[in-house]
Order: sequence, then C-alpha cells, then structure tokens
Amino acid sequence: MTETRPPDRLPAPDGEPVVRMTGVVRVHGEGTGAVHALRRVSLDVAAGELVAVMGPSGSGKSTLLNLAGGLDRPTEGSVVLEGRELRDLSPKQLAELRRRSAGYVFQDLNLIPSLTVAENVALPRELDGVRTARARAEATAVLEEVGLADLGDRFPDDLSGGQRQRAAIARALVGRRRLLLADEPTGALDTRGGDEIIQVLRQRADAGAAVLLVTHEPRYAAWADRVVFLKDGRVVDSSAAGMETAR
Amino acid sequence: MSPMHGSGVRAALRISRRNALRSKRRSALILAMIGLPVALAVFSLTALFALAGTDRQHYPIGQADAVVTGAHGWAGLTQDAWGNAQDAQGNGVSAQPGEGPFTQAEVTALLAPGSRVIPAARGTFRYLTPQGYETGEIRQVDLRDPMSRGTFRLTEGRLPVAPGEAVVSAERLNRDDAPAVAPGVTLLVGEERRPVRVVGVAMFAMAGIEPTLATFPGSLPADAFGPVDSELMSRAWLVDSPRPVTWADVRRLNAQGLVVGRAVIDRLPADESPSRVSDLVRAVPWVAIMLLEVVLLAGPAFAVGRLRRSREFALVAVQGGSPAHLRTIAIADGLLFGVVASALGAALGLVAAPLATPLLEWRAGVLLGPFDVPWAGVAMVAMLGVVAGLLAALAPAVAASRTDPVAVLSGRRERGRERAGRPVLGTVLVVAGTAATIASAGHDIAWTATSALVTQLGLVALVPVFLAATARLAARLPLPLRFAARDAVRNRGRTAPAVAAVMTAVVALVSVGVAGHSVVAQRSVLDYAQAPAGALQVTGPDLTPELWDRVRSAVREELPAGVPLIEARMLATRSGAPLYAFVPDDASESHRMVVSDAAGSGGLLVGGEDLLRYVLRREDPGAVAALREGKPVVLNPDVIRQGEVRIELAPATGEEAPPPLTLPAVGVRPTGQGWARVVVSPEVAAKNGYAAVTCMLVVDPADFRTPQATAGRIAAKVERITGMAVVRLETPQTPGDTLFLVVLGIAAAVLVLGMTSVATMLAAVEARPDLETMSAVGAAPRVKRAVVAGQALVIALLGSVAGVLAGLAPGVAAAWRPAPFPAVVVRADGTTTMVPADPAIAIPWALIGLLVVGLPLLAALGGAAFTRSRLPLPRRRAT
Repeated sequence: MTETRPPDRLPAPDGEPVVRMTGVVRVHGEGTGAVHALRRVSLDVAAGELVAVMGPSGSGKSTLLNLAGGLDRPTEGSVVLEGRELRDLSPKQLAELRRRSAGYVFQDLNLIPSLTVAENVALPRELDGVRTARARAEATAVLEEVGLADLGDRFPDDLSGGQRQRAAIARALVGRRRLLLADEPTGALDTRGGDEIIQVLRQRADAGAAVLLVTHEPRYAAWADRVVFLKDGRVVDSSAAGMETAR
Repeated sequence: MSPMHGSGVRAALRISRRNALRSKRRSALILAMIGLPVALAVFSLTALFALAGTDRQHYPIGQADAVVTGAHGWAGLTQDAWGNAQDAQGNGVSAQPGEGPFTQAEVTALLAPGSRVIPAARGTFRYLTPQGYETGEIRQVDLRDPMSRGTFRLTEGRLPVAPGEAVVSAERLNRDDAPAVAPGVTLLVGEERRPVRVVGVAMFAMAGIEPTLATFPGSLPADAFGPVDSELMSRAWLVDSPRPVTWADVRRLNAQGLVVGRAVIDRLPADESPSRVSDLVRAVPWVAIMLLEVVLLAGPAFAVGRLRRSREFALVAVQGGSPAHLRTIAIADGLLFGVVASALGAALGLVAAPLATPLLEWRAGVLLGPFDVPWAGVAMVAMLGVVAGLLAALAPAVAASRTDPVAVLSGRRERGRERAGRPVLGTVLVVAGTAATIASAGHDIAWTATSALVTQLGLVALVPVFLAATARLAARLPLPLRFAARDAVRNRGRTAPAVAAVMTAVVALVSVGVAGHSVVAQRSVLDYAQAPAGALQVTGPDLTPELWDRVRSAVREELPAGVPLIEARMLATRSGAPLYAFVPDDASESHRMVVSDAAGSGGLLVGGEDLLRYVLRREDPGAVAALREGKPVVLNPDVIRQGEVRIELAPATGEEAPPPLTLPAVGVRPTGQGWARVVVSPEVAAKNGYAAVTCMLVVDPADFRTPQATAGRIAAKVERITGMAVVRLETPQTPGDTLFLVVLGIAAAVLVLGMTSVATMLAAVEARPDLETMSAVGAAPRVKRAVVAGQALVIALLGSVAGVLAGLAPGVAAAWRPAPFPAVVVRADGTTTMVPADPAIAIPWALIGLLVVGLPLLAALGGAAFTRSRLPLPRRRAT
C-alpha cells in the first residue's frame, strides 16, 4: 500500500485553526466523587491537518473529542470552533454547530438502520432545512468522494463494516463541514478495513478538512500529521508525525 | 415546539415509517391499540345510524308514492307530514260505526289520473297454531307488487301467491317456540278459523308495527281488520302515482277525507329534534375515557420504541439534531401510527358495518335502513384516533428530546429527570372526582362517567406517589421483589404510565362489572316468587284442550301415583277465547309496570277445593263452604263493596268486551301472600255464560315436593308438546349474569396481561445492566426470571388494586338509580305483587378476586415463563 502513502509534509497552520482548545478542564461529578477527565488541555487543529489522539483507557480521549465538537461543554477553559466560542452557545445553537461545522464518526453503530445510506448522509442537511432533493444530491456527491457512489440506496445492514464507516465519514463531512471528529473509527474493523478508513481520513484531510482521530493503534497514528498523547487528562507528549517506524 | 423545517419533518416521518416497517410486531400492536377502538366506534356509529334511520311512517311505504286511508265523513280533516290527522275541531279522526270506508274505485277516482291503487290492511288477530293459540299482528298486502318493494326481504321459502297463503316474520321465528309458525304450518286465524298456510319467512322493515304474518290479499276479509283508522292504517291503499304526491295534493285529499302518508318530495318545515347538541355534550365524557384508555394503552408501546431507538436519537443529536428535532422524530411516530391506524380502523369499521348487516338483521329479525355513512361522525372519530396517537407519543417524545447523546453512545446509564408525581393536584382531583361521583348517583350516567374521569386523572397524577410507598414497603421482601419494586420507583417515568394504563382499564371494568351485576340483582324481581316454595307450575297462555290433555298426561307420567295435580282455569268466551279479568285491588294504579304474566288470567282462577287450599295455603272450611255455595272467594276482602265483587273482562283481541261480572263474594285472607286474587267455581262461570279454559297445572308442595330432576324431565316433555307452556319449579334463583362476568373477566385478562407484558418487556430491557451485574456476582439464572416476574407483579398488582378501589365508586353510583315507581310483577296465577324500588348493589367478588389476586399472579407467572433464564454476558462499554 505504498501507493497510498501520505505525503511527507509538515502542517501549515496559516491563519486561524478550525478548532482551538485553550486550557480546557472537564470535571465529571462533584465533591469527593469528582473525576477530572481533562486537566488544562490546549490543542489546535488546522485545516488540512490530521491529528491523532492516543492514550490509555480513561485518559480523556473521548471527552476531548466530545468537547471539540460541542457535544459536551468544558468546566473551564475555552473551545473555539470556526471562530465561535462554544461556551456562549445555547444547546440549540450547539446542535446547529454540529450540523454545520463538525461531524462525528464512532467506532460502530454509526448509521440509523432504518434509513438508506444516502438518507443517513443527507440527514444533517435535512435537519438543517435543506430541501430533500438538494440534500440528497449533496449526499451523493460526498458519497462519491468516499467511494460509495453506488451504494447510496442500500440499507446500512447490507454494507460491510468498512463501507459503513466510510458512509459515516461522508455524513460527518456533508454540508462542507471542516472538522471531522473520529472516535476509534477502526475499532470494529479488521486490519484491511481499518487501513481503508485511515486512508479515507487522510484524503479528506489532504482535501482541506481538519481531522481529529482518537485511536489505540500506533500504526494508524503514523498517518497523522501530529500525535497527541493523553494520560490522566493531560497532554504528555505531542510529536509531529514521529512514528515513521511503526508504519 | 420550535418551528421545524419541512424537510426536517419529512426526514422525521421517513425515519418513523422505516422503523415501523422494521419492527413489524410492535407496529402491529400499536396499530391495533389505536385502530381497533376507532374501528369499533365507526362501526357502532354506522350501524346505529342505520338502525335509527327508519322513518316515522305509520305504514311502510316501500316503493309506493303514498299510502292513503279514509272514510266518508272525514272530509275537511287536516294532517301533519307524518300522517297524524285531526278533524276541524282538533279531535282525532276515526270511522264512526256505519260510516263505510272508501272503496278502491272511490280512492282511485280521488287521486291523480293514471294512479294505480292496491289495498293494504293490518290488524291484531288470535290464531291457532299446532302448539296452541297466539295473538299477533297480521299485514295483508300483495308483497309481489312493486309497491311493496323495500318493505320486506324474503329469507326462506316463497312469497304468498294466492289467498290463504302467508309469510311469517323472521323475528317471530327467532323465538323459542318457532315450530308453532314455521313454514309448512297451517294457521287458523280468528274466530272464523280461516286457514292460512305459511309458505315463507321474511324480514320486515322497521316502520309502523312489524307484522308477525303477512297474508295474501283475500286471505282475510277486509272487515276483519276493524274500522278504518288513520293512525293504525287498519284499512289503507298503496298508491302508485304517475307524478309525485306534493304537499298541495295532500291538502286537497285531506279536504276530501283522505289521510296521506307519502314519500317526502318537497321541503317541509324542519322539525329537527333539539337534542342533537346535548347528545354531543353527553358523548364527551365517553369520548374522553376512550381517548384516555387509548393514550395509556399505546403510550408504553411508544416508550418501548423510544428506548430501543435511544442510540438512534443520540446519533441524530450528534449529527446536529436539536431537542426539537428529536421531539419531532418521536412525535412523528405518533402522527404516523395515529393516521395509519385511524384510516385502517375507520375503513375496517365502514366495511364491517354493511358486512355485519345480515348478521344484525338476522339477530334483530328486521330489515335495517339503508346504509348512509355518517361522514362527519366518522371523520371526527378518525381525528380522535390521530389525536390519541399524538398524545400517546407525547411523553416519550419529551423524553427523547432530553436524550444525552454522550451517555447513550458511551453506554453509560441515562438518568432522566423523574417527577415524583403531582401529589397535591392528584389528591384534589381524586377528592373532587369522588365527591362528584357520589353526588351523581341516581342522575344521568354521563355525570358519573365525567366525575369518574376526573378521579382517574387524579389517580394518574398520584401513581408515582403510590410507587414510592410500595418501594418503602418492599424493604423486607426477598431480593427479586425488592429489586423490582425499587427499579419500578427509580424508573417512575416508565412505570407510572404502565400502572396508570392497567388502572384505567381496571376502573372501567370494575365499574361496568359492579353496575351490571347490580342491575342483574335488581332485575331478579323477575324471579320474584311466582308460587309457594317448592311448588311445580305448568302455565300456558292459550293452549288448546287437546294440548292440555297431552301436557297433563306428560306431567302425570313423571309424578308418583297419587300425587294430586291441581288444575286452575280462567274465564273464556263460549268459543274458548280466553278473557283477561280485571279484579280490583288496592295497589295504586298509576304506579304499575306489568313485568310478566304467563297465563293472563288476571288473578281470577276457576277451580275446585284443591285449588282453594293451594292459593290460601291452608284448609279453610268457611272458604270451601262459600265456593260450594257458588260465591267467589276473594283473597283481599277490602275490594268487596256491599258484599259484591265487580270483575271487568277483556278479550285478547280487539273484539268488544263483555259486560262486567258482579257477584256476591266472600272475603278470606290467605296465610301469607296468597296465590290468586279470586277463586270461582266452574259452575258459577257456566251459570254466567262463560266457559273456563285451563291455564295452569300445579303440584302443591304440601302434597309433594317435586325434585329438581323430575321437574327437568317434565319440562323436557312439555317442551316437545308445545313451546308455549312454561314449566317452573319454585326455587330460589341466583342472578344469571355468569356470561356477562366471564366476558368482563376475559376482557380484564387481555387488557391487564397485555399491558403488563408490554411494560415488563420494557423494564426487563432497561434492567439488563443490573442483571449483567447480578450474573457477574454469581446469581442463578432463575433470579432473572424472578426479577422479571417481580416487575410484572408490581405493575399488575398496583394497577389492579388502585383500579378496583377507584372503580367501585362509579360502579355503585351508576347502579344506584332508584326506579321512579315500584315494579309490579304479575305472577303466573295472575296476582300482582309489588316489588320495592330500592336499588340493589351487588359487588361481583369473583371478578374483583380475579383482578386483585388472579391476574397479578398470572402476569408474574407469564413474566417468568416468557423470560429466557440465560443471563446476559456483560458487554464492553466504550471508554
């Protein structure tokens, strides 16, 4: 698979990053039962950049992802997504932000089984009030970009795990969203399927998206422009694509 | 709800539709829960509409343009649209004796040129059947004539084609003694015994008086139908006119002495009944109760759906679905199911109504009116179905809008906001509703229903409080029950609707059960003692002497030799037609209601000393002496005036009554209530010019106590001889509402078990993580069964107990309707007995036992039986 080897280039953070997290603290619970999921984490992800987040279980990887996309709110600190401070937004505005600026991909069960692949991808656009036909057209276009142009009318159950994840990536990107948040997107796939998904993510980053990828697997982290290590809610290391040997 | 974009709603509806198709069993269940009540309501509405759609004509007009009657001397009368006529002085019109009716030629001459006229007559006749005499309505008209079309439908045999032939009504054939008038039988009609052979069976339209027999013209002479009568239409003509009969024609014919019933073709002054609005208002509580039931029934099913789809809701939220979006998606479920179920239900009801017509007609024995679909009513019912669907989906939709996507997607337990009920509001509603229910006793049943609805709404608000109390009690119970109770409280949002649904159904069932059981207990006045305890009576209204001979020997065969068979007779004309006797009594005449009178003797029995001893319940030498002297023995001496008793007599048919009978009498008070009013010796009857015909055979319990088995054999034998005689052994009767209670019990089982199982399934799904934990710490597989059984028990028991307690008050209130006057039972011996009008309250304990003990246990057993005992393996949860 050398032909799909990512280009060796350093991140070019010219201008504002897509998401900027500054001094973010997230505490679950209160008092003696309080759990510090994140402690003063700062992280920027720029357009065209694929950032991998690694770390042991409970290190705060998923919390970081949830905060970056506005699914959750920080206890302290600031998250700015495409120039908007999330702290100031109402739940309704956050939902709107998720429809227009950030897209999530999870480990599995990403798609609504009762909707076709194209309908799943079109869903955020339809929720945003885009006419059904246009939303469908946009979905078809994005599906083409992830290589699923022919499968739009299938139901998720008819697809392989890798195809399902590609559809989920398509849905996360539809409507020109620039931040793609992927939480262990390869976790439920075999090696080959996992490789395909990472390549798609790499391509989307190269095409201009900001991708934040949570993964356990060092070999996938190697496709990233930057790797952030979390432990006990803190960033312990951040290296610029320093995992060449693992590839 | 915030405004939604059209495409968002479309996406929501699409998700609902696809989900409905994916989980077909759940969808079918919800469709049934909303659709069946809609179907039932539409069916009843349509069928009732057809039943009520009969006209108010005095005579069914069929395809004729008009029906006319009249007599010379009626000229100058006026009439209303329905044919109610009055003369110039405002008195009713009827032909005076000697004032002949118009002839057919005279009528034709009065009508528009080219009119065709056929005679149609009706009257009440006594006729002899192979099983004895009976009295019935006879219509004499040519049913083959096109003008008769629409007034009948031949169901068996053929139409009469010649004088002396008749069809019998299907309604008459529905009765037990059908062979008396079945096709093939020849009846002898009237005093002249004119033979009429039954050649077929027909159903008659409900207009005027439905006939028992319809004879071919010429079978009975016109004057046998009595004098011309504008209201009875005793002798009339059906008119086929070349042009429609207008109101101007009616006025012209009235002036010439004809009363006209006609097909209405021109607009008449509206006389719409003013009760329509109040009818609608009265329907409101019933509609509200139905709506509440449907909402509570379907609500848990929607809640199951929401739970199963919580991941889907979380995904939509992650993709940018706002709470309003999520609510819309969940509400779309209610809209979709409401619309589809209502449409299917309405269609089902509309299709079923005409399909069921033959069955309804067969049961009723009459033709129903044409089917006009009451579209406005159907649309309203269907709309209510949609509203019920939306309301049922509302609570789960609100819960869906609060979905915490992070919690759901990471497998953490979702902690919804649980409301601890609304104890103050609930208490106020329950107190107010109960007070109103008590106050409503004896008033319109709609008030009772309304106040019961208020109580139920209060109880629904109180259910979470009951749940909390239950959990406190559960602290000492074994683990599965304790867990089930605590789990029920912790998930109040899920448990409360299920308990409320069970409770609402139980309230309805218990109140119907109590009211119905009480009505039956009251109705047992029909089983009021007809004879001394242990007496065997054979009564027959109007059997021939030959039939009585056969009945007598049949009874004798079954009795031991030497047991006296007492015979009671009643007065009759010389030709043997029974005469009803009006013996004065001191019961106030204005307050009576004749309930049953098997023989029709009126309390005057003709017989000997054995009969006297039977009715007085003792040997009385004075009374025997009086009977021998030819004096009537009167059991109530107060009615003897100046030593004489005056008895009026009336024949069964409209013939002229004979003059009253005034006889010197002796008053003898009976021991106890007495079993006749007057006893007369046969000689006295003969001396006064009357015959006496047998009306009753009695075995006096003082002579022989007839065993039940013997009475049963006698009844079977008599039944084979004639269906018109009644055999009765006087034993205490129990209310015969077993079938009613069984039906209620089955409905209770279906509703309570159905709702409990849906709610238990939901609870078991939600308790899965706890069961995983139990499994991990070593719980035996049967613990899972026990936990599910406990969850079912908590829901069913709480719902049933609260429902039974809440259902008693409306049931009692509905049953507590004192009759406006005391009932008067006319016994087989012709004596009237006052039955006090106090309402009886009877609690159907068997039904209540089933609800409180049986069904909760059954629900628990079912929960255990249908649970897979294999405990789930703990699943990996994402970090």
